[in-house]
Amino acid sequence: MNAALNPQINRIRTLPIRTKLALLSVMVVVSLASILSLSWFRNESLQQMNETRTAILSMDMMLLDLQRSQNNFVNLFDPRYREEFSSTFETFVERTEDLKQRFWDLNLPIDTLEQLVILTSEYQYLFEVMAEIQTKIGQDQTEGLRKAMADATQAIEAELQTVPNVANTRQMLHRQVIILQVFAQDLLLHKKTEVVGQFESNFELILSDVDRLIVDVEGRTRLKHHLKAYRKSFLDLADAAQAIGLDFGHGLRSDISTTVNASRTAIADMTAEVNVAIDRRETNLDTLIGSLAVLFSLTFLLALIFLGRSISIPIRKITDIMTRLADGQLSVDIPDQARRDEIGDMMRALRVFKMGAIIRRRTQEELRKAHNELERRVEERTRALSEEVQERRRTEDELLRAREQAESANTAKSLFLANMSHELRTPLNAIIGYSEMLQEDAADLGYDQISPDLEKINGAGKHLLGIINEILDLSKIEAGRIDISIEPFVVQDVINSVTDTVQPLMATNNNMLKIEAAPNIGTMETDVTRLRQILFNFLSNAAKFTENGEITLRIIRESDVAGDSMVFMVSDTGIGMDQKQLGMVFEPFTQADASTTRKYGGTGLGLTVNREFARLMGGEVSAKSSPGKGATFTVRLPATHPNAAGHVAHDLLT
Amino acid sequence: MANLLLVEDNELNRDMLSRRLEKMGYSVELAVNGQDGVDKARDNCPDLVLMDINMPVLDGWEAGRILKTDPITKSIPIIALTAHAMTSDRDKADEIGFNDYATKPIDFPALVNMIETWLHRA
Repeated sequence: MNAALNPQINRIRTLPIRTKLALLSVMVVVSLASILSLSWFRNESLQQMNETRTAILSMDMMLLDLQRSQNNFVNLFDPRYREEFSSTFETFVERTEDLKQRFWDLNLPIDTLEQLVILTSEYQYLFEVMAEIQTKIGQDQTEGLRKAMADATQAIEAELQTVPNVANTRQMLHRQVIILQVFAQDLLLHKKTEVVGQFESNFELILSDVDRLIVDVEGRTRLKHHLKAYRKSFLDLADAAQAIGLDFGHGLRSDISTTVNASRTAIADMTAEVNVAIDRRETNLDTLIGSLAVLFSLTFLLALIFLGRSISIPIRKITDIMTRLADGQLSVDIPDQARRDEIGDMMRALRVFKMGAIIRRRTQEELRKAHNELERRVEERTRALSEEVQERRRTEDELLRAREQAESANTAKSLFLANMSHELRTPLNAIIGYSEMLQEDAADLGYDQISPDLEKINGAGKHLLGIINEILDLSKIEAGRIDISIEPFVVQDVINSVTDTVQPLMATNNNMLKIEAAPNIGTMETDVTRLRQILFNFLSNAAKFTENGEITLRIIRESDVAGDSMVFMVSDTGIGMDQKQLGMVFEPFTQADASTTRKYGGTGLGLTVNREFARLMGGEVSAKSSPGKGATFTVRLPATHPNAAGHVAHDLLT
Repeated sequence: MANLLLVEDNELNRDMLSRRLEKMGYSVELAVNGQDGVDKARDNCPDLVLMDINMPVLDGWEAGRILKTDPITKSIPIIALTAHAMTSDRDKADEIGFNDYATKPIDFPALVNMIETWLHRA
């Protein structure tokens, strides 16, 4: 409605805020500038007024100067003062012109000044006239009328001397001339113009006396001429004195006095007028400046209020909309989008924000749906998984328990076997010991017929001891209670000691032992006791299953990238084994068949112990054979142990 | 002839071994456990001790350690008699200060050799 009715206001209302602010600033600047310049003008103007007032005062002073020059001239008859008056008057006129200019500039009433100019011109004129008369009179008896009078007096005196002093004629005439001179004195010194009448009557008297007393016609004519000259100069003087005026109430002096007084009044009037003008102007300017300041302040205040409202109202609107949008009320209307100012920009931005919010909400809802779906699925899957995990953990626990049970059972078994073997060995020691002792006793006492039986007891005991020892070794290995001790040694020494030990066994079945050692076998690092046991087991095994044959121990050093290996091979020419027997030959308690145990004796644990020992030392055992063609057992061991092999062995076990 | 102290808890082995040693001409004193062995060794100062390991009251390791730290008895040679055949046992024997080590079952001639060696060395 407003927009339709007041398009002008609306256009201002929708001006960009920065433009509005700029306009306001310009307004403030213009206001301040105008008030400041007005103040300056006021001060300047008042100062000029004051200067004018001073100039008027100086005019007054000059007027006094003129009067002083005039008085001096009149009283002292010095023409210098006439000149002084003239020059002062010239200056006065110049000043008057200046003042006139000032009056024009300051727009002051000029009438009084013009009147003053007329008055002073008159004054000057009157003074000039008076001066002229004064000059004509003369300063003393050498000048003007006064000289003429003096000359006439002298001529009269001289003429009187020529008059014959008959009957005091001369004295009488002289006295009458002196009376005339007294009148002249009165006129000149006391400015008594009324003496002119007395002078005239006395003069008539003198003339009649001259006619009467002087007989000489020539003398009489000359004296009368001189007397008439004297009278003329006296009358001229009287005229001049009349013209000048004896005091300020008469003649020129009176005129001058009037003019000067009028001038002084004019100056006083002028001063008063200027004062009034100054006061009025000051008041006017102050009122103007005050009104302007009030006007500007009011306008500025109104503009500020208008601007503030034009910003704050839309901003409040925007805040409201934003709050609602933030609150999720996306249906809220956004007004003023068509405005050309910043508010319009903000409203349009709000619209964009609203659109974005709508889209975001839609997306969020979709996302939430998807998220819920996902969460539901995850929950399902988690439940399934946790069930599965629990199931697995149960199974695992069971397995673990089963393994622990099995392991502890196995350890228990091994410990049992170890202790059992130890317990078994103690009585066996006694059996073997006592049987040996009895054999010795039988030999000593000559009971030769019981010796073979004692020998059998001793043999059986030793056999049992061997079995038990092997069981002990195996159980110790299985229980993880066996250590190996790695040390360097000369291989040939070991071969020699083993050969010595097995020599009696070779003899039992009439077998031949052959040693084939390469010349470079040198030394190796391993557990020498275990190696000796391995070789003893292989050799005694071979001797057991071979009759009238040949048993060969071959030793080779082999080199490859992993390092040197020592290979010990024990070959026999005995009964041999088939593939099935060969596959199980290193397993515990599995001699080729049960009958072999009875026939050949042994525990069947020797080869198993060999395999375990070889593993402990980082090596391996293998066997090759075919029935009736003998067998070859091989142990391959690393020739050196870079690490502490004891730990390696333990690691293998645990 | 030399005086031997045989420390052995098993009666049969003690009897058998002592009789065989006496037959060889040694004078054999008997102790039935480690503590008994330590006491008798201190009392009688034998020329050599044969020490079983696995014994009640005080085992052979401890008895050997006591004898080898006692200034009176530490110069007496001790030979360990053990059913233990493991290397660690041999190391332990060395560490305690046993002079030698014989594994059961006893190889009697070898044991006599060992005894003679230590008697003459002492």
